[in-house]
Amino acid sequence: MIRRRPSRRFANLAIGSASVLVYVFFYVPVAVLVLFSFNQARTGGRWGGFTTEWYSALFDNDRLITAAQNSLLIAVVATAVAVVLGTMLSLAIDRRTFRGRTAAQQVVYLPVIAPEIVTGVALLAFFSLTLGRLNDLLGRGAQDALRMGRPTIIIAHVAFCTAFVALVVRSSLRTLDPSLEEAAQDLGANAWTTFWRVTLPSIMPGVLGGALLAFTLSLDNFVITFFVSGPGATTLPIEVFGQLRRTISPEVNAISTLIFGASTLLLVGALVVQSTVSRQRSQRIRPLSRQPRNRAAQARATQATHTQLEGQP
Amino acid sequence: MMAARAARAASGGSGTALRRSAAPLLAPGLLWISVVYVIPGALILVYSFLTPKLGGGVVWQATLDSWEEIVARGRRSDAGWGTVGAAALRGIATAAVAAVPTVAAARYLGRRISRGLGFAALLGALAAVNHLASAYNNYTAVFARSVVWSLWATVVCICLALPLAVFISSRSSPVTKNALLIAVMVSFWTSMLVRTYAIRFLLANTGPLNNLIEALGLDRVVFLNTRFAVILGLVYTALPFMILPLYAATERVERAQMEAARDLGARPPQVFADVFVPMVRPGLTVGVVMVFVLSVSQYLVPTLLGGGKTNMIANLLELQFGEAFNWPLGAAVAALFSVVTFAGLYLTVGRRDQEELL
Repeated sequence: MIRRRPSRRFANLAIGSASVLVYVFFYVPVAVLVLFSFNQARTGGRWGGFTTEWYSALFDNDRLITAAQNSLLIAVVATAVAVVLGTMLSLAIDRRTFRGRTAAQQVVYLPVIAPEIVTGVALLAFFSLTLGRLNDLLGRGAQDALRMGRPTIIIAHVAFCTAFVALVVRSSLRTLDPSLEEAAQDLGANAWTTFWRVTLPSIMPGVLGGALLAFTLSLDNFVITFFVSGPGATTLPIEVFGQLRRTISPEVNAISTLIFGASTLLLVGALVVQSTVSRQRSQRIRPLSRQPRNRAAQARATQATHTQLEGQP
Repeated sequence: MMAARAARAASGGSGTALRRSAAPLLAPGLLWISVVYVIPGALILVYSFLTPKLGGGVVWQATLDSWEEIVARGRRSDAGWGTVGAAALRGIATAAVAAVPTVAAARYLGRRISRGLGFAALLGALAAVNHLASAYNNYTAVFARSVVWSLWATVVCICLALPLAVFISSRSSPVTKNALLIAVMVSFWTSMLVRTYAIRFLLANTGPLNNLIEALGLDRVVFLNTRFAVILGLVYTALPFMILPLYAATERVERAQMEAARDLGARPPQVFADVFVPMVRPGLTVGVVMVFVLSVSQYLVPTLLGGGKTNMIANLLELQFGEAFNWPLGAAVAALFSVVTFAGLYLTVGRRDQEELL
């Protein structure tokens, strides 16, 4: 029906080719990096034949292995704490009314907008002050008993992970009709049961998505970790930075390729888990839009909650 | 949101549970974030008024030294009234040169010429301030450089992200759409360190790109440790933060409205400026804020691609807290930087956009 003007066809062509260029821009540097991690030539960007020796060298590198273990441990602990705290925060902000709500909201989202470098140096000042005072309290025998290391990294990571979990969970809370929860309570469920049986199953994709985001952010964090990690504990990004700042070597290409592969796998995992959970959820509860707030909608919500409460063992 | 809240309030009895205290849910998370963000932030402000201790840390003795150093004492010897004159000249020259394309663009997009002139004047003012800051002292020079490079990165990101967002949202098959989006998200989820290193490896003096150039019979080019490399790195690392919100906004654009505007005789540039841009504005604002804030505080990109010691604000901070061991001076720079960042955010992002951002 609509006549295609030549100017429009030209515009589409321009948009299409610009998009292709953007993808080329995204992937060429990474592809070159991956390719050269299999390069036999030790130096330079010249191809010297295929090898996997740089990868096997990585697994003999104890410092790297220790750093990777530290990173995983920190990410797991930080994510576990952040998922609980972040979900609680988003419930408080979205489902409760209280004085100072806007202020609380702004504090919660501070980690999202605060420049990382400022947070890093501020935490360096804060931890060295508090740990110094604590060491003084512990007495002369315990000189420097408390130092920066894994605990301080975890404390810092929990804070920003919590904010991102709250952000993601809140966006899925917004799509959940509060009348579902109200209906559950009208039917006699207490707040605890309502949360476990109604709210949590419905926001599960958000909670899982938030958890995976938190895990990735903790695993990848460089700047904040750089300032709060002590001599005892380095994470993978800190260790790799130390190496690649000095040299450009095939080993660094290999470890970078592995990190790239791991984060791609994490993303794919996140997408698969989220789509599975939301499919399961949509089979269990009929989605309700938040707009119609009339009797019929309320009745439907009550019914849906009823079936859900009874349907579960 | 408001309607929902009003309805909840009106529904009376059924809302009792929702009026329960928020404190137990709120306290742990809020406390944790405050301990890590608010208290150290306040501490930084306090530290900026203290005396440096050799080997790092502070002596608890109040002084204005750090602030004087940044504001007055660190002045370059040649900074004087001549600099002000040069800055003014530079501003006027920039505005005059910029006026040609901006006025042409205003005409083309069907806007008043005064808007084009206004934009040119804004660019001129920016150039003048940049000149002043660059010439005043080393601290203001680093601030000016960080801001200008980040602005360039933001502009390039908009130019690259806009066509891509339109391209993805105009695909008809959801499978293609998802595949294209995931291809962007892979980059978004990849470690910043790896992405920056990828550029460093590609551009190195003996790297693959230079080998290609040499194979073509041309001279090797020094890419690393230049302004070009840093801005390229900023764009490379921040681009997904522009594409994703912009795509979300483009997806909501009413195509019928654009068709209607076209049927009513609007030329394509007018449709773009008067129909499309206002509809994607919230996403565009989010993208601009994300890219700018991320870029202006970048540490890895200027360190790995810029090479120098005080390329951007983050390098200056690391220098003061690391090798130079002047924590109060670093604290003053950090405090100033935070104030400028938050003031900028407050001015550019209205309350509405803030809701969108969060």
